[in-house]
Amino acid sequence: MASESRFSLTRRSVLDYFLGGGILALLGTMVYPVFRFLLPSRFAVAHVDTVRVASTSEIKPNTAKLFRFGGSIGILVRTPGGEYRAFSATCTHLSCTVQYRADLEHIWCACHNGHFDLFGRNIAGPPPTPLAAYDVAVRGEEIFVSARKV
Amino acid sequence: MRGNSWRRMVFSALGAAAVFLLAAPESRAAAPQPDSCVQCHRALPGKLGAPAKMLEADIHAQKGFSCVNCHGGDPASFDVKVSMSKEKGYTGVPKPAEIPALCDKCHGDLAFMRRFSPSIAVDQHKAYQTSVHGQRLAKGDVKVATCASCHNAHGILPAAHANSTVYAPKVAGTCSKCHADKAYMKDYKIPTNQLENYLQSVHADLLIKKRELSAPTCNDCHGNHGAFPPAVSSVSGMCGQCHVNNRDLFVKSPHKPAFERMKLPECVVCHSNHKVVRVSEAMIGDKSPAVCVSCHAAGSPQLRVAAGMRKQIEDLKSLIHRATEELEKAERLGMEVSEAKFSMKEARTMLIKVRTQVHSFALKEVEKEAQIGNKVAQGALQTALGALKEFEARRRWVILPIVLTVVLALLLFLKLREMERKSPGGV
Amino acid sequence: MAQSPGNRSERLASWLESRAPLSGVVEFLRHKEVPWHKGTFFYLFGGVALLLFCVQVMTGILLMFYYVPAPEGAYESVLLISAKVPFGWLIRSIHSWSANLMILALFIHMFSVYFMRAYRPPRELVWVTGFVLLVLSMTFGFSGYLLPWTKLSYFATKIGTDVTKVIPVVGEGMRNFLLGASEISGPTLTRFFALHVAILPPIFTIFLGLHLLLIQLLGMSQPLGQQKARGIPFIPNFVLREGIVWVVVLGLLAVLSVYLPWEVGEKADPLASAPAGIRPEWFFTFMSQSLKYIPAKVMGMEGEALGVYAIGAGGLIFFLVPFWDRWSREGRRHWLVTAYGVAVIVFLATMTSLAYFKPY
Repeated sequence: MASESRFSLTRRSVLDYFLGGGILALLGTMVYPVFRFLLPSRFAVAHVDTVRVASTSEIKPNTAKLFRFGGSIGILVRTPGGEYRAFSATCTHLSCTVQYRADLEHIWCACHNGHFDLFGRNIAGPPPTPLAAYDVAVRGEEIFVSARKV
Repeated sequence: MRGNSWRRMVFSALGAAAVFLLAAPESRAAAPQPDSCVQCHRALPGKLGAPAKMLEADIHAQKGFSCVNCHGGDPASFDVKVSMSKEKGYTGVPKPAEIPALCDKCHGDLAFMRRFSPSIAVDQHKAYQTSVHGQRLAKGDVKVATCASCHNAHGILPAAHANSTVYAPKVAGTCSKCHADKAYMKDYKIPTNQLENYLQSVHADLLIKKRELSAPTCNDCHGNHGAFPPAVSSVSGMCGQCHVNNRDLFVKSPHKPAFERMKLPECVVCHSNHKVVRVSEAMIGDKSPAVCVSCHAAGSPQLRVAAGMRKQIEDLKSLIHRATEELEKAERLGMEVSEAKFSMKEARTMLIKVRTQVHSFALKEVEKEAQIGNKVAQGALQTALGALKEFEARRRWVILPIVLTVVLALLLFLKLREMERKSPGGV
Repeated sequence: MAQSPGNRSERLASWLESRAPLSGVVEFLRHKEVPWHKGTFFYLFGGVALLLFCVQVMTGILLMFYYVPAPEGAYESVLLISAKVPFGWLIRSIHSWSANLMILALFIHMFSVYFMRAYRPPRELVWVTGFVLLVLSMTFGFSGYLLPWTKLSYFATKIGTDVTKVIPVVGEGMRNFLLGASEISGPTLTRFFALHVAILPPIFTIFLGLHLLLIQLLGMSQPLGQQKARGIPFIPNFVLREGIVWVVVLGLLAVLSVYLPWEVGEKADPLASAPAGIRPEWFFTFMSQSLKYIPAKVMGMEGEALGVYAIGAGGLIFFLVPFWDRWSREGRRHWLVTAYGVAVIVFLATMTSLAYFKPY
């Protein structure tokens, strides 16, 4: 099968076809992951420092909204006076998720009836410490919450 | 924060403000300078000198009061015969029975106390008169506690001060000075093991060890000035100050009327009074150590409910445990399961709710809550298992390129051999 | 390569030739030969390192699509790559494994050249450029190690950059220049990122080009003592052999990346105390390990400084071998050169394995 010239493959053997096919297949297994890697997909970019929580029209005074903050839950409260405040929504007693009680005008944990005022301070029930506070920034119509810098 | 600790705080914190603005009236006026009582007694040894030395830290001294305000006499005179004379109103050491009224002279007068703290309580003496201590004192029992027994006679500190005998973590020790003394309490025929029991409780663990000041001590259930054993039917009211949901569920449960008929002390029946230990699922069920079996007969329908509730808790707990484990496994392998991990918070919340719901003693209610938790945990578990499966799939798929490389290497080798059939290197 | 007769292809060839006069290069490659002897196998490792460098460039570019060079985002973006982006875990794992295999291939390549005395005149500059490429590769590794901003990489980098302190007078300043601050922080990350993706690659490419060009111009070294050994054609015989190795290396890379995926680890926390078992990348462990055995003070000198100088001097002697190995110029193998090479290998191997099996 050796050809006259060392550096020419004039006659294609079955082996050559296999070789070519194999190289193409190997390239394919490389190109496919790269293609999938670069294809935009529906995943959120991990931003743990600041999250957009809501738009200003979404939250009326004396209401609140729970939101995801990194691996934990936060609660954005709009006080009856119209101010925005945000806290960790994890109750300091046994880590249940707290909620806003418009009738009481403060934050409440259903698990053991823990009460927190609108500054996140534990005012009644078993919670031993206040809720951690986050920073709230309103930019235009958007409300952003970020971790409080120590 | 509960009423009592609030009061403790207000009492001391706000009290600090007002004193400098106003002068005290006639008999309760601030002591003159120099104060002969302090100057002379400070130089005296032992019992006679100690009160003067303790005065400095005393909250009363800080507000401008001195010996004269309680003991009478004339602090302006350095002549013992004058300063400590009856004519000058010197009363000497007050007898225990006289102490409550003596303190009440100021502490019961809102118009006076307002100067130091506008919302301060002035009902201590009234409360005391309703207490077991006060009632016995009225009947002439001088062994009972009076103000000074708990607050000390000299060197009195506000309750929020960590060195105060009535600072929350120290209250149990203060009460026990008498109540744990078997010899002292012999005549009263009440137990003396309260402190021993309390120290084993979850409350003491929080308050004394962890310095969690909102956890309860003696006075949070018995009252302080109006100290009294709670009535059997008002126990849930005591515990319910903090454990509101448990109380609400309990008072609507069939146990409430049953306990009332049998004169059983509500929460205490299962949780004990002073020795309230940390709860666990083991408390409920149809076999010992479940507390249910101490009243309900084996094989009774009630025990079946208890066993059912136990099973609900155990099932949810183990499901949560399993889901958490699988999620962690998947995460360690680099799989994305943060959403599912996040949802586990809800499952854990539901587990806590289920455990609270037990106090309704209604299986259906418990099942309802457990189901929500089960659904969430089950979802997370499926996500985790799916992620683990995908991880395995990754390993399987990579067989393809590996096989390919092996085949290709083989083909190249064949090609080389074919080319170099004549000699290695082909020359 | 098209040899089929016909006017069209001949016309195309001549069109190309007049615009890209590369027939000389083609002709050169056709006649290029590789010496054929016992050690020919070791010639393949340079090619392996080259392949792995290409893999590094490609996977590195891919990672840059998602990586965020900031302390607040670096770790999160690496997590994102390895957890959420399709095949991100694979690409990151390949980048890490390929980096390590590349260093390994470079070491094998270097020592085979050393023991074959292939650095002897006129190939001194091939050796020098090759050595520079090794140093650059290790710098790549050092700077890349910090980028995921994990606890381990944070403290390993801290220890690594502290070594510069032993340099008198300018050491402290050098360290601060490298870190962009007095401690490892945000500026350090961006500096290391710039070094890793913008500064090192062009420098590496220039030296790589020089290295390859010099080999082409000078030809591959003949074994010592032989004037003209038998050769095999570079194309296709040698290339086919290289191809087999490349394919095997790619397969190995796939196996390692999938079955031993690189862990992300915990996020760096500058306030936390250093975790146990801190160690740099394996190709630096010989350094950190040997410094542990030197007493704090040796004859009035800082032990650590002494160790760093000693290792530096040892490396320098190794680097300068083409200039002091006079014997190989006369076609003789001298035991001193061999002994020094063996000593270096023994030292590296002992210290590296001690770091893994007996770190304390």
